[in-house]
Amino acid sequence: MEKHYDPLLKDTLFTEKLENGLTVAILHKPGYKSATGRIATHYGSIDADFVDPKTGQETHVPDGIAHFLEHKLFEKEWGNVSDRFSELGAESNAYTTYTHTEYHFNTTQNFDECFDLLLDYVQNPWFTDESVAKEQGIIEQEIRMYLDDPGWRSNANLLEALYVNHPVKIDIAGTVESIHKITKETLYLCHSTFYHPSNMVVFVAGDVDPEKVMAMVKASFAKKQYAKQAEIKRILPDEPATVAERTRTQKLVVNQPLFRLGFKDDKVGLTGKELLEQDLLTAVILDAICGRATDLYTQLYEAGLIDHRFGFEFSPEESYAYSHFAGPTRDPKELEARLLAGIEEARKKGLDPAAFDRAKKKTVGRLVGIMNDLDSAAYMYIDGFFKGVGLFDLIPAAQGLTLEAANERLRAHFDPARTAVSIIYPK
Amino acid sequence: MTESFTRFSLAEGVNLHIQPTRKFKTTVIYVYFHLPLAPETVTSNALLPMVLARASADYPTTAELSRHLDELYGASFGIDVSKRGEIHSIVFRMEVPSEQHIPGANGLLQRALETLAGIITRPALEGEGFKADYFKQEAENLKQTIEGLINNKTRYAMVRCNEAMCKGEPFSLYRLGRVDDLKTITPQSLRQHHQRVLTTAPVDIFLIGDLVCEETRDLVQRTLVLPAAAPEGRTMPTTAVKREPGRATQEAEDRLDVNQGVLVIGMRTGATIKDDADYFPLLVANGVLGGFPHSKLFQNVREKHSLAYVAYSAVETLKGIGYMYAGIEFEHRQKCQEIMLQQLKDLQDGNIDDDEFETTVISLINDVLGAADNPGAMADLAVDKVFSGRDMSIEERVAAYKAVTKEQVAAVARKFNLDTVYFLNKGGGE
Repeated sequence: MEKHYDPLLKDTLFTEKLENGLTVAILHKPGYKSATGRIATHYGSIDADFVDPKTGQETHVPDGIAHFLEHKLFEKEWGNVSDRFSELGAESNAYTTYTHTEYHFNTTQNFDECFDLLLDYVQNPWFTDESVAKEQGIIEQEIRMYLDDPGWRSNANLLEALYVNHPVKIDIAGTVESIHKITKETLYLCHSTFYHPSNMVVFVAGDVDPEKVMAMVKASFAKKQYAKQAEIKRILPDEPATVAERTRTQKLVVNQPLFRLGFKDDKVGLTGKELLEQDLLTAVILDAICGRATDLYTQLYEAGLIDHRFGFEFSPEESYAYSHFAGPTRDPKELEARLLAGIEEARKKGLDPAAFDRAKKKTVGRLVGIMNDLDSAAYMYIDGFFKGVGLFDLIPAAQGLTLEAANERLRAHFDPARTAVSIIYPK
Repeated sequence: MTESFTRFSLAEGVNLHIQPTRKFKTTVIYVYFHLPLAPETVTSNALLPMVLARASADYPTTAELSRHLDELYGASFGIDVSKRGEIHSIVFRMEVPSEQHIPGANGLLQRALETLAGIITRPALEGEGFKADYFKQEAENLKQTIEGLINNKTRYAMVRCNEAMCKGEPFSLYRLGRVDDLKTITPQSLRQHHQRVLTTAPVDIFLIGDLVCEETRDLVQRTLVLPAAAPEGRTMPTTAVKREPGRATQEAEDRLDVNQGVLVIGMRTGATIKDDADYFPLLVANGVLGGFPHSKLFQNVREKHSLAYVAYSAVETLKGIGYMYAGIEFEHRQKCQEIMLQQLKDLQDGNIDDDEFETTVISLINDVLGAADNPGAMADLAVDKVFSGRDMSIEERVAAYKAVTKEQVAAVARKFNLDTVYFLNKGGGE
């Protein structure tokens, strides 16, 4: 077990990679009443095409299966896992993203029983034809709920416009049609492939005994025989640098148009330190060109084109990345024109050094604050882990960002030729 | 338990609550102004913090204020208006990193408090009113935000059900006010309202972080100086609880062009946070009915009948109101309503098995204990204490949950009276 201490955060992280390939990390948080236990697999909605490591065969599974599998792992022959967590006084949940699936509990009581349960239920699936059919009804309602969610639709439409082939353009939950093609056999196949310890990570945060937690993980994983598995080959289609469509619109029951502008990143394939730097650098640039403290924000706000709900974000993964700006507006066309003009001006002139320094300072302060919250720290760790980024790498990387690199990135990434717009209009 | 707020009275109706802890890497400050929820002021209460948040006399433009906050290592500042019972609170929140984690930083907390005090008490003015441009922009933003309620179908359905159920009572008012009122509010009238708020509202200030009590009290007293109270003083608003057992159930419906129906069943709970004997049984009753994934609603509506992805219940314990909620296919409305009402009846009849009862109690205890890890939840619990007048420690709350019996839960549930069945249906605009 390795011990990492961060002198700035004054936090300690213990890590170990087990023989079966599983990584375990424990963030020691003295004084916390609750603790969280989490297990995650590097398997998300974009992984529907892969080479089965057991047979060497190229395999395609229905869209939405990673999310469906997440739901179904909660059901066991003996009952429902989340009921069992409740009986222990814990909250439990799970989520699926485009790239990973995570299961967790948070509790102030019975940590050991909860942690054993977590490790056990995620390793041991139980699927039947009946339970698969039942889940189709529930997930259909989940999909329909999102069909009425303007923010969700706005982002989904932007991804459809930005990407020609990449599966990030498909909804995480799949479609009502695709989930009806899911069977218990395909669920078992996906579980045995992607829920192999070498593709997973365990994370614990709280006022726990790290030695004991580590021993519990080892004991739990020793109960099941895992054959060595080679790295899973994921098949992703070639994606051009250009966008699929310039503008995508939809009508929904909303009170005013919802605007979203995206910049597709052509510099993909990064991991580790490079990906982290790209992430932080782009976030700082976004804040320095149109954060609340900037002239561009002030002009758009005072022209009534944006309000306090306006926001922006860079969403980077190894195989795709995009920046987006979004908010309700009275006039999407004018907002688009003025936002693009403002960004273009920043590209020509370069960033204001003072604005860059402020944005950097702010990033460091916010990264410190994130560690207050066990859920946020857990998300940062797990998301980072699958990208090859360590929890304590973030602040030093933010401190090391330079204006030169920022200006270079500003010019390369915010290319108007790789933009798309998504607009939700009132019905 | 080590965590509890130390309370200081700064003036009549102005209380400071300090929670020293080294657990967090930031200091979080909340300032609450408690006002009556009333038709005449609801919209002004919502608009006021939006205008104040734009600038202060010290930082007279939004850009200058934002730059200053960024310089404080990304001090995050936010505003909100909360509605608890018929108390409408304006909330200011500031969070700033603790200096022990920021090498070279100096006086961050003091500067954050000075900035916050400037925003709250020394606004950017033009003549007798707020800056006209900022006022106009925020009035428009508030209008759009109120009208934007419809963008979130779940929240829209809850608000609409509540409007129908509490028609004629202040509780029917939406937290953010009414669009029509905006025509009558001016930069001058809002500034007058601001002065009334500063001099008549009871104030609760919370600080949570790596603090020393007396030192922090002195710092707050020096920096966050509020004007003296008006002659009538700062009076805590009250909530009128309506009890009408036997009142007939009404139906309400909206039609919109949506993909999913939303069913909300509104009830009067007949018990509130003020009823010592009923309060904890009421929270357990809600937990058994629909507060958790193991609860009757989730288990039956979702797990057994696959009718919904979301199915839960909630109670508003100051007003004595409860809701059952589910997002469903339009054609399942009747079936879902029957299943939900059956769950309520089972609860009232005492058909509560040991598992669901014990699981509810232990889950509620987990929520109480876990609150000590989250500054926002800590402040929430402390505000609850202010409103209920019941000062209970964490251990006392845990003990109170453990003392609840199934019989008490069924008895309190029998006081529930169905009031309004609301359905968000398809078909609007066709």
